[in-house]
Amino acid sequence: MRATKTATAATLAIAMAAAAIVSAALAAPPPPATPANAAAAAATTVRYTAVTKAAGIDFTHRHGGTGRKYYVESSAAGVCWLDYDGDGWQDLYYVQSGPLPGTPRPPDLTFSKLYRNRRDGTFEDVTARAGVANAAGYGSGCGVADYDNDGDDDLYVTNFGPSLLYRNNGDGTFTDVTEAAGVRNGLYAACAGWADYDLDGRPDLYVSNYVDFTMNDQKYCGDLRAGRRSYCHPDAYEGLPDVLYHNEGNGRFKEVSRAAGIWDPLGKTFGVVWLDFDRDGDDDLYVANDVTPNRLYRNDGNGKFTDITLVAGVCCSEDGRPQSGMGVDAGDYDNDGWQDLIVTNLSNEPAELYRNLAGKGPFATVSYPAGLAEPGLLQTKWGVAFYDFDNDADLDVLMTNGHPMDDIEQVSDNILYAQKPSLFENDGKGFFREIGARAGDYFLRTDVGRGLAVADYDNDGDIDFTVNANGRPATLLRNDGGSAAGHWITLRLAGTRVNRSALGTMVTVTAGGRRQVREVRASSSFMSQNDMRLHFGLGAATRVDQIEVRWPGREARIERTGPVPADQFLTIREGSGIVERRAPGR
Amino acid sequence: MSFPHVRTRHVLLRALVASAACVLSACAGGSGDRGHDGASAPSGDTIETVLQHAEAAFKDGDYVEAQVAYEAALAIQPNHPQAIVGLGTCYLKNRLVKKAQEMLTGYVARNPGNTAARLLLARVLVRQGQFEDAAVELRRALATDPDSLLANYNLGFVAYRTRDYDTALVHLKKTLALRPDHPEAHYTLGLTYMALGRYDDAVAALERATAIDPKHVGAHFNLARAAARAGRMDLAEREQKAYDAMSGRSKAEAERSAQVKASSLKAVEFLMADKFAEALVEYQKLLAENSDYAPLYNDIGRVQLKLGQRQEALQSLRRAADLDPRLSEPHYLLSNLYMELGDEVSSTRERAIFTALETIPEGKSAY
Repeated sequence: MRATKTATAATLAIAMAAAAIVSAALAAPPPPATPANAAAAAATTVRYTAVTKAAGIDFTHRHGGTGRKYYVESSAAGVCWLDYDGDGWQDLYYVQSGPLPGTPRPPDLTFSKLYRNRRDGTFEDVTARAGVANAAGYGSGCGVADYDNDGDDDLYVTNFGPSLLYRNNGDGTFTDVTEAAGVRNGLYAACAGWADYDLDGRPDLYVSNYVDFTMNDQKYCGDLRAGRRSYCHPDAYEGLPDVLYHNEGNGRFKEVSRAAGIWDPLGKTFGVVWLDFDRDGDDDLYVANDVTPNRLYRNDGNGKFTDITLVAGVCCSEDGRPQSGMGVDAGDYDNDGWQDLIVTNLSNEPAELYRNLAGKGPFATVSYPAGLAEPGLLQTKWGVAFYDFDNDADLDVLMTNGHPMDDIEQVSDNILYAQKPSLFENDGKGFFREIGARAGDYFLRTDVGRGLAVADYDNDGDIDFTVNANGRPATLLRNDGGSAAGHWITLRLAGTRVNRSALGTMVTVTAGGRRQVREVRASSSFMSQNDMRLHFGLGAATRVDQIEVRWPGREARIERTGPVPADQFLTIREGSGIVERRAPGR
Repeated sequence: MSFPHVRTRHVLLRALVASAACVLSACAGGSGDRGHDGASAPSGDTIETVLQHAEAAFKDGDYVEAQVAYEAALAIQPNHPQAIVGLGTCYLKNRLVKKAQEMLTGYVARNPGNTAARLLLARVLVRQGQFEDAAVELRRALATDPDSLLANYNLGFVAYRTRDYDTALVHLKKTLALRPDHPEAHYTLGLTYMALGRYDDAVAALERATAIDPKHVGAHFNLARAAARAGRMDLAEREQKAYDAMSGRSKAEAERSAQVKASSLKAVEFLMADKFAEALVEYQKLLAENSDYAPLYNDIGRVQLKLGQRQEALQSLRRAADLDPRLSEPHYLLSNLYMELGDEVSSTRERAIFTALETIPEGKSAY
């Protein structure tokens, strides 16, 4: 392991000391999880319907492949939900990749696309008017936050090559402010994660960089004897350091990666998620690395981070081996109030679920006991989301799948290139059951899934999702039946003293005798971003007894409100409580 | 007939398979499921000879050729138990998992008493993610041979994976009764205790695993975690360091790579912008302090090729290959370069080295 990122002995001692406070709760094994109790909870009435064309979405991802198998072709791309026009309806941004730099531009060239939500279940392509085509870049992913605190969503687009920051002008257009802001990056970027790590009220930006592949460094991989050229294994290239940009508040950012203690020159990072895993009021950082160990950086509260990966036990597989980290998400799947982690990996590796043991001691690797491993062992998993698709008051898991090698079927008879997506239902006791086959035709089809993002785009009280597939048309899936299956409440948080996007805010909702915790965050999944509003399924509860908002900060500032009726959208402004209520569909 | 040098085995075996297939089809009116006990292939090879060859190829790591040989053996004598298990193993190595499953499922249905084949089928099922089915096969194997070490250990492992911790304990303990120094059984027992929240027991089992196999990465990794949960911080820290030291690249190697990588970012950016001369200058600056770092010479050679500096590139790439014989990329570039220079022998040699280095072993990072 690298010295620059390994916790010092002193740090270890501190972290281990925390682990010493092993309580009875910690000593208890993971929640009882048996197939029997999973089966009892499994009968879902929710169906996902593919509505892509009907909704006016006509985006097709192009990797620009020429047959020479340039490494960059096989991974992209992401997709982001954002409310760029501030109308309370989620708009949609798909990242385009091809053509490859230096290759001829095809006549039917298409770029990244921004779709405005028309509030009637359909979208219109407003890319040209908005000016966010990213026409010069080979796109990877995107991330959204109101970085300048002017009340609208801004957009960062990661590229293979210089990335772009689009500032929202507030009138339906954006301005490319990359150079002025100093966030060009210039390397092979994957994900963009916004968070106010130093709690100065301004969202900062973390950009993950993958490997040092360049178009001028194309290696031959595959079988020379058979003349079969394949995409290279990630071992063929070296990693790159990720970049943390501190928001200076004057429209400019300052690169502070080394100074902040986030510096891994060999990491091959894809997924990024900010989470307050230790509930101390500031966001920590977790990154998923491909064939190098994943990293958990604890925010020390002084502008610096400590790499506590090994102490926390979230680097690798259960056997301590680095895996092929792709996407990542954080969420409290066992409703114990602490954020857990999930990382997607390649075929023959499970998606790893790391259970947060109440902030004390190492996380527990529970992929197999939680039922998430076996059903997806043959799949390469990318985009991932913790969310409650059936409104039964616990977080389920959705994953997009598809192998990176388009010729994998020539060298393996049990692994497919295009693969079915996976939907895992949480039984409320910590066990997941794969139920995709009962959740709509999309789950019976194969796709080359990459980017995945969830949102309630039709504002009907249940969570929809979209997939950006590598070299294939994007798909928009509408949730039918979720809002009938259980009650719900959706919260939009607006900061005034803290950052306007309220990133890092923790909300606890109590309803029907159950408490659920969610955190407002930007990037997650794979190169993608979800609806930043917090959606809580409430099951049979028709009202929320209490909403507790902990605004980010080392000193807890908590605002409570409630009771409130279920099945509505609320906006809660820092210091003002509920400032807006909306019924479904409004 | 005896099989000569390994390089010629492949062709001979293909011929053998073809002739054996002929025996089984219209040529002899045979059936694929009918025994040919004692029969020899038309070439004169006996089943023993072919099996010997198959095993030799397998030991050489040439699983494709071993597969061909085992198929030839089965063409001579279908249902030969050793050939079935050998072929099934080759199928796994060659990523023909479904094919292995199909063959073995049929075979154990016809030969329910063959424990070795059943154990292999269980392994195939695990590779397919079908753990419950694997457990069924392992129980059947144990019904035939209750003291099978492999069946006991594998059932213990599969039971652990499928949350059947009581069964896991029974069979892992049985494994250790049969062989007390089985490191994997101690290790999996430790994991099972951790899953049950029995951290002191987990520490004891994992300590035993590390004592038997001091290089067991997973055992050190989990011992650190179990010790932390058991409140034994000194042990946790010690094991953390042991894991840290043995995982991934060596510390010195990692530090060096990180240092060079950090310094070469500018060169990478120049490459992204097709500014080769500028990239070369950046790389050459790094040579001053890293004159024995192979990847740097490879980077320089690649840029020199872009700049048309072929002789310089040749020297750089040769230096890279000499400094780190495991680095495949210089050999590929050298092969092309030698070809351009008209040196076909050197080109072929470099290409062969590259191909050997590029072979991805089974299971390498899940590919």
